[in-house]
This record gives sequence, structure tokens and C-alpha cells, in this order.
Amino acid sequence: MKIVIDLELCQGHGRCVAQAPEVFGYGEETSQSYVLDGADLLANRALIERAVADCPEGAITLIGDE
Amino acid sequence: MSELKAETPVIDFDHRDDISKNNPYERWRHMRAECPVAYSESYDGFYVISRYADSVAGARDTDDFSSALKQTQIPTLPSPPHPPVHTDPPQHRAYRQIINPFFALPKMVEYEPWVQEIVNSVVDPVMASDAFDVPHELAMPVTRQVITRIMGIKDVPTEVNNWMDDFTLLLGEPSRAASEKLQEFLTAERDDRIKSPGTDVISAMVLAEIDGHRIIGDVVGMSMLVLAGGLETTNSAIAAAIWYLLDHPEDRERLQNEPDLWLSAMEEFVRWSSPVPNISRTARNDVEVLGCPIPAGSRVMFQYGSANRDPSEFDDPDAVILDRYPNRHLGFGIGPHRCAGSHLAKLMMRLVLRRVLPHLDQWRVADPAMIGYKAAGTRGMNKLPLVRIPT
Repeated sequence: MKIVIDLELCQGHGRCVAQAPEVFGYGEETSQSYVLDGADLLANRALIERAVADCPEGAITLIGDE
Repeated sequence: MSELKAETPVIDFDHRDDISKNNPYERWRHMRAECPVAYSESYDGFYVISRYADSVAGARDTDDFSSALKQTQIPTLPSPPHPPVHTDPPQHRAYRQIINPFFALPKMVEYEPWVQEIVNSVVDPVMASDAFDVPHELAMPVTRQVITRIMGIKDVPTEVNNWMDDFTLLLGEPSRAASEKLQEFLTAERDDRIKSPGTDVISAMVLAEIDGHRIIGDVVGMSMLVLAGGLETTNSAIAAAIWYLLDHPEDRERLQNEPDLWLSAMEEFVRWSSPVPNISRTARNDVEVLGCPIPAGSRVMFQYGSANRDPSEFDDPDAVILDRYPNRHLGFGIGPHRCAGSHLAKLMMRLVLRRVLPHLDQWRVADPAMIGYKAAGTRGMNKLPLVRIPT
């Protein structure tokens, strides 16, 4: 399972951080989101799917099943 | 293939009129349904777009729809340009990088303690009084103190809210005169930071270099934008949320009992109140929306407030649903010009509402007929008088 954040689309709304704070961080330098090191994607799968759906820019893709 | 329109409908529409102020929703519904692309002859003529999908597409298409050519208000306000909102990519990014760090989400952790102090110092005496006006006595003192601290402004005249109102809401000479006052005030602040730079956002603008050059000539315009963003919009969201919660004890109770509800609730209040109901562009090229041709040079208004009530995107769009999901609203815009201050706005809303919430059952609207709205490029209550319910 892998998360891809399209940095051309990410505008720093931060909804993903709100939906899945154990998975997404927000770069103070970049004002864009990133996937936290060591985030447990499987355990947070439902929240990641919410983050994908809630991103106004459609910048997040969840790839794979495990 | 989109339906080919022989002629774009011409409508009588003014985003500053009484309908826009007091109850824009029915007209928005009509426009979305009957003339999602329309032409108004007001203000030398402009196209107006009212649906969600077209607003999103337009905001993302910075090539066809420019923010630089004639700025982003209709009519164009009397002011030097305000980078970054009045810039297009690629210049846009360099300006954003100057202000972004001050408003990035992680910064809110650092700001929260002193924002909380400001909130307490404003809210507590008001809650102990017998009557007050929400925008003037609760919201404005909080937002004004917060943004001016980030800007490093030590002595802010309370008239700054009046200057900003006159600049953005009036037309002609009164707007120009207010713009002059704001520019004079911010020029003095800029000159102070040139002499002794600090760590505030105006200092960052003074010290910034783009392509190896300082941008001193842009500092006053950029400061006007940061000030406007800080003063105007958050007040509207706070007032609208309080007004709503006064009437909805069940949602007050949900907020009291469900801490996890707050993040989505703040997004929902912004969607529902849409403090920025419209934003405008200029067509750089001939372009077509829903089959309607828009010639190059035309002013084009995107009604984000209408998009935020579009049933094609939002179920039950006129209802406040505190845990609404998904909620891809345009209350903070979308695309490259997404509101830089969105995280700070939500922080202020959250702290003010959390502080007033336990008291709201002791207050009521003094007289609904006295509620007043202002509307132009921003929209919100300028009068919401509350009185304590006698025990």
C-alpha cells in the first residue's frame, strides 16, 4: 500500500492531516502535505480513504491493497 | 459535448446589492439552474459563473483566467497590486513563499497560546456583560489583534477596520480615500521594518528577494492583502457560526461533547457562511464555459458562495452538518490561490467558539430585524446584537 501526493496539485488545504493525523504531516517550509515516516497505512486505511475523498484538489492517490 | 449556447443570458445582477447582502441564496439557486454562465452589465460588464464544477475549473485555469490583469475584484479596487493574490504563476509562487511560512499549519501550534490569551481577554468581559454586538465587540478585536501581531504592528488604530470596510465596500472617492489611509499606515510600518527588521511578516517581505532583487515596491500592496485577509473574512465566519449555534442547542451540545467534531465543524461553518462569496479574474484568452464564449479581456466572476451551495457537490447544501464529509468546499478558494491564512482562520474560529460555547444558552439575538450584512467581494454580518436572557 502506498500513498502518492501530487505536489503539482497539493495546495496545502491540510484536510488530509485533519482526517488522518497519524499518516499525513504538513511541511512548514513547503506548505504542502507529506506522508509521515513509519505511518501505519494498513491500520489507517479507512482514514486515508477519507483523506483522499476530502482533498479539494484531488491530490492524493492510494495505491495497492497491502 | 456541452450544449452550444447561441447567446449568453444577460441578467440584472450586482454582487453588492441588497439581495447579495441579506439573502443571496435564492438568486444563486436560480442562477445555477437557469443561467450558470450569465452576463451582467453592471460595473462595465462581466460574466458571472455560479456552479461548483465551473468555479473549480476556472480557479485552476490560471492561464485562461488571470488574477494579474485587472486584479480580483469587480470593479477593480483603487490600490496598487497585492501580490500574491494579484499575480499569476509562475511569479505567484515566489510571492507565496514569502508569506506561507507565517501561516503554515504547524505554526498554529506555536501561535495557539498567545491567540488563546487574546481570545480570553476579549471574550471573557463580553460574556460578563448584558448586551454586545458580535462582529464589533467579539470578532473584530480578536482578528485585528491576531493579524497585527503576526504583522509586527505595535499600535493599530481601531479605525483600521473602518478604512478596510470603506476601501472594499464603497466605490469611487470614499474607497480611494480609505485606500490612501491604509497605504499611508502600511508605508510607515514598512519603513520602520526597513530601519529595524524583525521576525514578523512585514519584515519578511522587506528582506525578501525574488530573482536576486528586493521587492520593496510590493511590500505595501502585500501588506494590504495580509491585513484584509486577517480583518475581514474570519469575522464573518465567527459571527455566522455564533448566530447558527444560538438557534441550534443540539449542535451546541454535540460540540461540547464531541471534541473530534471541531475540525470538520469549522470547515462546515466556512462553507455555509462563505465569507468570500465571489472572486474575479480577467480572461487572458478567448475561452468558453458551458458553451458560452467569453472574449479575451472580459471580467469573469466566480461565485464561490453559490458553488458552496451547489447540490451537485453537496448533499443538503443549505444545512449545517457539523460532520459533513466529504466537504471539498471553496470557502478558502481552490488551486494556487488557496487562502494562505486558512489554518489561522480555523484556529481563531475554534478558540473563540470554544470560549463562548458554554455561555451561549444565556444569550439571544436582541432583534432579528436589526441583523445587518455587508457584501461586495466579502460578505458577512456587520450587526448581530445579542442580549442576555433574563433569569
